[in-house]
Amino acid sequence: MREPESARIVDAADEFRRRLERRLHDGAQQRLASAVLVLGLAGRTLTGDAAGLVAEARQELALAMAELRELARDIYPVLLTEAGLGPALASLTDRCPVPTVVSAVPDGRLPATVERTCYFVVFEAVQNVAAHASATRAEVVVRAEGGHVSVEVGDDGAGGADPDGPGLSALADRVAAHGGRLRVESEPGAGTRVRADVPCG
Amino acid sequence: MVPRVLIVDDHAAFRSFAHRVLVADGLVVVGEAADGAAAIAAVPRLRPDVVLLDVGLPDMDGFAVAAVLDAQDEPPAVVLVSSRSRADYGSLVDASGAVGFVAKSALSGDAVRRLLTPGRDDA
Repeated sequence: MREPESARIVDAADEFRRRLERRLHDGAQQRLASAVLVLGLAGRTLTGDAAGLVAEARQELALAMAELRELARDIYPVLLTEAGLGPALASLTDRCPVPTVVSAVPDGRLPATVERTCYFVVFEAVQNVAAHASATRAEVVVRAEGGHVSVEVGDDGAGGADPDGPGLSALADRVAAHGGRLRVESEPGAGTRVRADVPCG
Repeated sequence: MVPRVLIVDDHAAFRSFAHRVLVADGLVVVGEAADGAAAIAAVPRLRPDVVLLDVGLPDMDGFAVAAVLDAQDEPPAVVLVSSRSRADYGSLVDASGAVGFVAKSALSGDAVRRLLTPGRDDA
């Protein structure tokens, strides 16, 4: 079945992101890694101020590499392609500043578009939790049942999220492009629940 | 015992610098390979103690190469390397049979030696 135009636009953008991440990894990141090793070798032959300066340069370069790596991961997580939704969500939530658990996620692989939609719902939601919610914990639940997949991110924070804000409305468009629906419940003082239902299979 | 290392990476520059770093740190580099097939062919011939294995090779990924090596008699210890971080590969590293993972920028003889020591932690 031919996908609707909106779905193809989202898929093309995702494919571009995937290739961009790949190029960052194959290009600049490889060169930076080599440069860090070279500066390490150079440092061994130096003494005094020169040794200190080279060590500083190496440290700065290593930090630049780490920042670029995070950026690349935000552009597109390689783990989603290589291992699927469960491992990608585990890695994403491990790095959240607010303690976040993945309570349920289907075993095995789902269609790539469904995995991507679910991943980016969780990505956007946990970013909002970290940035705005004053939450102490968050929970992610993904379930596949009866021809659709539901993904829900809940937190115990301040609530009051604006579903029409740029992040959540773009997310709603992404979910709708694949025939799904995004709901946001965020009463002030009652935490926030972001839930997407997407057709699957 | 001085660990004997085979370096597997499709980037010639990285192989060369990794080679120099490991030798400077007192390890022995017994060979280099540029892809998975060459690595699998080289291991029975060179008998390395350690295979320093890039995750992203042109012909097959490092996890698949690690699985093939692990099935051989007296398999070498596999240390995965990448310019990505361990978090980017998550559970794939644990499932690979490799003794550990080192970010390319953190490569040193000590980082490899630590992974060969029982009770070690990943770099």
